[in-house]
Amino acid sequence: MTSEQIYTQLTEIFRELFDDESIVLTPETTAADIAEWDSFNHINLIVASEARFGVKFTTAEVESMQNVGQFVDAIAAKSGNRSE
Amino acid sequence: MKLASREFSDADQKQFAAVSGDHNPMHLDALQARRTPAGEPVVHGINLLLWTLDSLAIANPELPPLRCLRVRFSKFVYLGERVDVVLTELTPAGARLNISVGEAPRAKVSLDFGDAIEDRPPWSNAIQESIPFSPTPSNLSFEQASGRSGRISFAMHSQDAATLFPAATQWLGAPRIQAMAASTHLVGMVCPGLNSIYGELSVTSLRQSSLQDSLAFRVTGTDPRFQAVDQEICGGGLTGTVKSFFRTPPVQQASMQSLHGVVGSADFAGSVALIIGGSRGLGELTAKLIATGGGRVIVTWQTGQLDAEKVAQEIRLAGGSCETLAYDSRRPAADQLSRLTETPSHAYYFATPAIARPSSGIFATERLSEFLAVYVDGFWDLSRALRTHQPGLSLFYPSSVFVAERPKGMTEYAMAKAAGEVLCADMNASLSPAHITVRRLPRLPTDQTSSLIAAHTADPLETLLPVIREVQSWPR
Repeated sequence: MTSEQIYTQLTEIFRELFDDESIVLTPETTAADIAEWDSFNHINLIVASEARFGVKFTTAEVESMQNVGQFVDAIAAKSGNRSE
Repeated sequence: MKLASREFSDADQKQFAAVSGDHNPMHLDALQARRTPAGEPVVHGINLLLWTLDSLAIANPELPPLRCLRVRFSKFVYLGERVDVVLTELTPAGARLNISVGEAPRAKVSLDFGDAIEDRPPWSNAIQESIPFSPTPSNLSFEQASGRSGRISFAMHSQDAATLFPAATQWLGAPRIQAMAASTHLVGMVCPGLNSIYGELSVTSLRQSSLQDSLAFRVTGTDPRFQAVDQEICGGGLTGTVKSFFRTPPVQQASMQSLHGVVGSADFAGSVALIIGGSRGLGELTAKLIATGGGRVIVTWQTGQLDAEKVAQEIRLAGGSCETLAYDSRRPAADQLSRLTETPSHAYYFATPAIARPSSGIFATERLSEFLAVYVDGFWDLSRALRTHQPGLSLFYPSSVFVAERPKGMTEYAMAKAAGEVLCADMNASLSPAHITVRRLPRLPTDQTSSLIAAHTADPLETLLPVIREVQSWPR
């Protein structure tokens, strides 16, 4: 799976979860950019992403994801692909 | 479109607890709620949901049948907050609603209209064990939640449903209202019970149900990363899932026994330390460390008298000296300090309002005023009252790394702490021989900083002990 494909699918997850079709993800997108991205919705994002991409993150990985770029990198690494 | 607006009172809480059977102290007991991540009593999420459904049905008396409902509770709603039901979409296919305070949604509700599904799931027929009603929540560990199942009777009577939520009851039928109320009884009292947070309810309407007066449940999964518990439920004409979380139990600070040898027994001898907000958290640890070092401590409490007495008793049993004092940093200091029997040489200011309460937007003047009243006005008033008797007073003002890091939703908090830092700097420039030690403390494990996702926290002992040694070194 390419980085572009991960971004496309991750954007779908974000838009569905936050009920906002205008969300456009970049590597620099953080919780500060999306009003409802709080700890509860962070968990929902993790769980939805794990189901979509067939991966599982550790607690340390969840804690260390500070922006979407890191999120995408972690998905790529877990699914055996590099994001480029 | 705003459908309804109201505030929830303590009386509302008691009424809903009585009819739903969810007497979890997080909703009812200010003393216990202050030791939870919420910091104060919060409204039952299901009460908010049922009010929302009722508001929708009042505004739209001819609603189609409900096929599916999902609600996500992402933030707490506190007593006295003005909360709105906002309809964001209504079509023949369904509806979406926000339960909001100000501009910020605290919960989102999604409804699909359509025919109910035919049968209840087979698993529910196999669940026979009846869970007896208890007015006290179960205190399960996370591990104990795995594999739990059972059946709980509806605490809510059909007449209660019709009285409290008449339009929703007419639309959905009393059993479905009772079943949703039973789900909060399940989460708050049975599984997970005492240390629970209700996260999400997702249910589908059943066309037929022979068991209308009880809710079957079974735990289908747990996730230790988030302390999450997933359950299936069925009853009252609904079947679906409930997601809940184990919230962090009250944070325990180091015991006097464990602190033996950490500081020398005479390191702080001769000092009298007033610990504002010493009944728990960092104030509690500071009191214990100074007492271990031979200092006499006075621990103040605002609401947690029992907690303060426990701290004092533990210190005395270990051979230390500790008194307690009722103190509210928002009230005049001099009057409250008149009950002191000795003059403090040192003072540590850990007073704080509840930090967890979510912001309703980027900035709220009332929220800033609430923080300023404690972090600036209260501190200034205390120092002024104490310096009258002890000109060489040494004070500690705990600021926060959040002043520089500025985490989301902490605008007013960071502003008030920054204002406190400015005050301290100017006081140090003008009020010698009094001295204020200011430190931006990192995130430390306290009741106020606990969250659903494990966050890195610094070691409180390693962080505080050097600060205490610095404060105790004054006057020089």
